[in-house]
Amino acid sequence: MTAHPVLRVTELEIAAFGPHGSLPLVRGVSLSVLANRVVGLIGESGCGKSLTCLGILGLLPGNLRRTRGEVFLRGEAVHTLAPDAMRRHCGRSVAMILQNPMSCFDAVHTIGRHFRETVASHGLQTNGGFRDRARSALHEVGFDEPDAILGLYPFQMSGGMLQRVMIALALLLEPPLLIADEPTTDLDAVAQATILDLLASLRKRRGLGVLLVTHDLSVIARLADEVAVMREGAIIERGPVTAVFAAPRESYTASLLRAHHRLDRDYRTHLGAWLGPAAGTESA
Amino acid sequence: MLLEVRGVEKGYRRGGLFGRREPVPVLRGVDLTLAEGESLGLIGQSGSGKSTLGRIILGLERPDAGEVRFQGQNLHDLPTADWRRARRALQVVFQDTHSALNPRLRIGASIAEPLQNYERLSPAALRDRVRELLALVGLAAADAEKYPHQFSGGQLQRIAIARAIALTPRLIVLDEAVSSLDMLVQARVLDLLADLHRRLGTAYLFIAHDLRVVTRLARRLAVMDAGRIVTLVDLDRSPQPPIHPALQRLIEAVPAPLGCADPSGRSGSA
Repeated sequence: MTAHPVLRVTELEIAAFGPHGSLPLVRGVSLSVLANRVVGLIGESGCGKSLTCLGILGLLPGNLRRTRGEVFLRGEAVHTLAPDAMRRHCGRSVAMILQNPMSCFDAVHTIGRHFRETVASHGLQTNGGFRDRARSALHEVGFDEPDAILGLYPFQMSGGMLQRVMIALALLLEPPLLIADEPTTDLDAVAQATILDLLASLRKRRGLGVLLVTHDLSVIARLADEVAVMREGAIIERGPVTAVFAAPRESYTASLLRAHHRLDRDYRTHLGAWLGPAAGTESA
Repeated sequence: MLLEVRGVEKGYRRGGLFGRREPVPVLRGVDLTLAEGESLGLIGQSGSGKSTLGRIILGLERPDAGEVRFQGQNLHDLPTADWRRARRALQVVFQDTHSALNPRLRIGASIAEPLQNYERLSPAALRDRVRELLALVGLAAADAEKYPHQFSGGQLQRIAIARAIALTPRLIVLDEAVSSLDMLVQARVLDLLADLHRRLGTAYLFIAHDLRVVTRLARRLAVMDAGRIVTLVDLDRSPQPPIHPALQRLIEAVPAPLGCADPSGRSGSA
């Protein structure tokens, strides 16, 4: 067990700079992720969730800058690092998976080539042991025939399969922290359930710390230990998931929960007897 | 019948320039009917063929076999004048709100476009009609002067809906129309669609993968799997087991209730 949290962010501020001055987009976000813990970050689109992730990784687009705050990966300050030095952390100390797995792969290269590139970019050998490593990573995310997968092109795979490959790639160098930005949003309901199960088992097996960004409260309920609610660039409420969901302090959090409960309740009413034996089944 | 789909088949060729170009069947004989004013949910996993079926019903693609009859006429075999008439009665709202509107056109102009194509309105009458449509979808008259980038995803989807209902169509195909929206925004857009359905009596073909979303608008569900409609379900009738495995999978994929007290006071768990 590491003494340090795998991720600590203090008072992060990110602003957009334009010809007419600056506009603060992330306003003083602080959070910590411990090993074997999942911290959820929720809020509607445009609230600054994804920017917070990019800010942590030093991947902000040109017109955006971190104006204040610190980022520590396993206790090491990384917000002061040059892009080159930061890149070495990406993959080893932290990995990220995104919403749209389709756009994360190069269509003209096989999955095997993507694995080779990832390994090579970290200065590791791409012969011999590499293939075993890729194989076991793919096996871990649920592919029974990893060799077949390595030969496929991205367009030959479904979104759910690609997201699993994405996770395998992200975890190839065994980083202690995974940042997952809307990892299930673009997938169909069945593929979503598979990815959530996978993330839950990886966290348990590897003691992975996860920063999970989503707008879907059921994803938080399924995976997260703690939740932070973001609105207009700031965290307005945080706490253990069960506590926040059972008794939200902020009216905004309550309105998110109400929308969710209504969708859920109406669904169960609408489907009625059709839910059959599946009704009330907890996907634990 | 407003819409009759009979034995529709469709395949795409896969493979590169020099590869073997074997056709991959996407639709393998689809039959479907939709009555005037009915709201039908078309559900299935990604890749099951629902969007392709939607595109064929919209006349954007031709089926390899079978036919689509809209208001009694074969949609893919219409003389130009009839096609224009059918097109008016058949509208669509897609998932990607940002690419659905011309970024260089003011919202008012985008909504006015179908009206200008089909109806000869005076500039004043056109302005009034656009204002009316904006009000119907819960936007302000002043929004007509703004550009798409000034709106959120949920607002853009309202604008796309306003444009789709501008010509009072008989059928709107909603292809994952709320899937990319946040839950709060999604709930509002679904309420809007339900309200418009009640008020205008337009038939909906609601394509989505999330049962929770589909059942908000539709009592009749067509479940697609591997290019076929494998089961048709009327939620107002009691189920006759066995429930088709494809539907069972979708039911099981719906997340469990949050498992805590609902802040509105009612119990969250079923």
